[in-house]
Amino acid sequence: MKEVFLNSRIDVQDLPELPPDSFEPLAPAFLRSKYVADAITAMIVVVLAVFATAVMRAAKGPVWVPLAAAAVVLALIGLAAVLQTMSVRHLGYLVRDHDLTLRQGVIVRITSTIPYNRVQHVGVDRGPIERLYGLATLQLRSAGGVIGISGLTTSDANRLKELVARRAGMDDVGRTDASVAPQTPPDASDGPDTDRTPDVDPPPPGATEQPWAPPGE
Amino acid sequence: MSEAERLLAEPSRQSPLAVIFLAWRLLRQISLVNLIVLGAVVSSGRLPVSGAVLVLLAALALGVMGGLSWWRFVFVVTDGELRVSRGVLSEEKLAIPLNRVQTVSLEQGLLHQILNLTKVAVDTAGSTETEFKFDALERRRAEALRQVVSEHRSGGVPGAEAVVSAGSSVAVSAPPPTGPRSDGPPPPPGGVGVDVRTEVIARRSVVDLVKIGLSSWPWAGLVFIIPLIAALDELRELLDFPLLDQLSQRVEEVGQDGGPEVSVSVLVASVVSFILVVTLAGWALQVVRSIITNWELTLTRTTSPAGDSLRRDAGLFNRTSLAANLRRVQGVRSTQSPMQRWFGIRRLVLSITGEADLAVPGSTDAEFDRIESLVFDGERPVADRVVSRAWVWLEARNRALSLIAPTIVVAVLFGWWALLAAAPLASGVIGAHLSWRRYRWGFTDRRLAVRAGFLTHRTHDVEFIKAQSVDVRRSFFQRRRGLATFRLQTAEEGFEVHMITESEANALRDLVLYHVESSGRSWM
Repeated sequence: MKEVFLNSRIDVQDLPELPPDSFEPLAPAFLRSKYVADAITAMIVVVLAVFATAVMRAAKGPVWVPLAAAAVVLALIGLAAVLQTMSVRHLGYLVRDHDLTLRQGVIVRITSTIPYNRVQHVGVDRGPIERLYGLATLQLRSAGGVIGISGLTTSDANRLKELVARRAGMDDVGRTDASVAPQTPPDASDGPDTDRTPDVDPPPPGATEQPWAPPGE
Repeated sequence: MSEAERLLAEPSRQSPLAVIFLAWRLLRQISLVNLIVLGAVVSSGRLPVSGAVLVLLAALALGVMGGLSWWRFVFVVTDGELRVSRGVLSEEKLAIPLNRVQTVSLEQGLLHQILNLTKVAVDTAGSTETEFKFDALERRRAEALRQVVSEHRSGGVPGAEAVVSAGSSVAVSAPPPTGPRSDGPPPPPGGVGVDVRTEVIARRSVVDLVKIGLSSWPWAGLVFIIPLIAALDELRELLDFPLLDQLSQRVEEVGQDGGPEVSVSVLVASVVSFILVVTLAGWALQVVRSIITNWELTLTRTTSPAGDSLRRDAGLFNRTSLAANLRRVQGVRSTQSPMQRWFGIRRLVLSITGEADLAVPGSTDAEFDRIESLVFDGERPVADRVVSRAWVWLEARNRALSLIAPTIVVAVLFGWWALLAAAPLASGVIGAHLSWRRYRWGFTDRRLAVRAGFLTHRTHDVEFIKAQSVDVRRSFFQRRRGLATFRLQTAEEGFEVHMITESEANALRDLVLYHVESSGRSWM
């Protein structure tokens, strides 16, 4: 199948734009899950600080050192919580026919778009806190890096994963033969916490048993 | 079945001499720290055995491990796959479809050249890392492997030409070469029935290599000189050089109270002489380095039904041969220092998906145009768009912020000397202004280009179709001025255009996405 080469003029003004008002917000539970993660980290810091203070007191060393260090770390955790609160307002994703866009950032706002036909792996990750809140992270991996969309509901993440896998598979063969698209992956809700689709781009050579024997054996 | 295929059709091992290289690799895996600790324990005399016995045992163990590694590493080419079985304790079996192999790179160190062996790195499309390496394969079988891969691509899946993701390395001569090094462009493989044509795009003579060395930054060679200066005392004792003794004695006398005084003119002359000598020595080292690394550098284009490939052979002691299909090129960069402009050359780098970029130092304008025309379709973008002057203001602000703390420290310690901070601030602003004036960007319907750099001119070109993802970034500074940074991420590198208007960045993103999503062309 020889590629047909066309070189018609394109008017930049006619190209489809990314509508800035159409981004989907993340699940409301996302911020709560972040706060819980911050609180757990803060508790660990407090416990470590108490332990270090006791050790320092027993060793008759300066008690203020572990307390000051803990105060700095707790202040940073507080700052992170504030930034997370502010960032949620700007976080969002946009699903289009041929690509997926993630908008994020507080100080530097980044809008990243990954076309489906560049996606090599797509997966859904669920950490313990995310599972607690029914959330999941969609990971889109291309040859140029990974884009992770956190704060999706599990059902949304799975639907998006299926969509991306289907579109990526069709695009991979020139969007002409849907029959070679990857099969719909199993529902992640019943599966393991990390659920990966088969590689859209055929996988690198893996360890497979081969029916041949080396010489001398 | 071709002759090359027959050569690889039976399961076989690397050359028995590979044991040496495998043992050496094992030795390198034992870190330097471990070796130092081991040496210290042995020299302390706490062990019941002597150091010589221990070294003998270690050599024996390395030999046995190397031998086992060699014995267990078996490979064969069959059913369109390269199959490898390896591992001493746990067996690992790999099966690599030949149409997935991106490159078969050959590399010959000095010992390899003497023994007529070659290191072989096999890289596939499935990952950005080399899949595996042969430590020492006979040159004949290494070339056969390259050829088989090329043949397989040539007779690949019918109709797959438009969506084929990558090609392989070029085919090389089917008969075994007579010497350890194949000079000149590789002849087409005989008796295979594959239409392969080769063309030398660039070749470097010794004069070219001297030019490349002289146009390199001489101070980079200092890293070799500094240890020599540090070891000057030891060298003096070793060489028994009377002039050095006198010089050293004189310097010590000057440093003492009551010693002879040195006039300013002598001091300045000494410093200038020292800088001159070091610069000349740096240039000499750069010339030597250029000759060693780029010896007989040849860039060859190979045209076959599998697609066009470029192959770069170079090196005096360590002879490397890197070949890649042109589809794997993700971007083209070039740099040209003032000295290189004087010689009419530039350093050209093709970013290749995989391990190493393909660098062609000393490229003339004609060679640059030729290589660029091979890599890119269509016309070269006219880089006539400027970026916002706010760039200069941003650089000045950042420079000023970075100078606040040092200036306060200097003011507290030395008073008015803190005003000297104005010098780096002024130079930073002037440098940013000159860079901004040189910075130009532009695009066609397929390709994006940036031309930048005041002293060293830089170019960077990338095709839209190579984009893996695109970003539009807006910092707080940029948002206040309606500016943005556009970033196109390829499989190998990022391409950025800074400080353009937000509407330009958005339009560029939409244009790139349109091409990536509407084109049937693969990025590789």
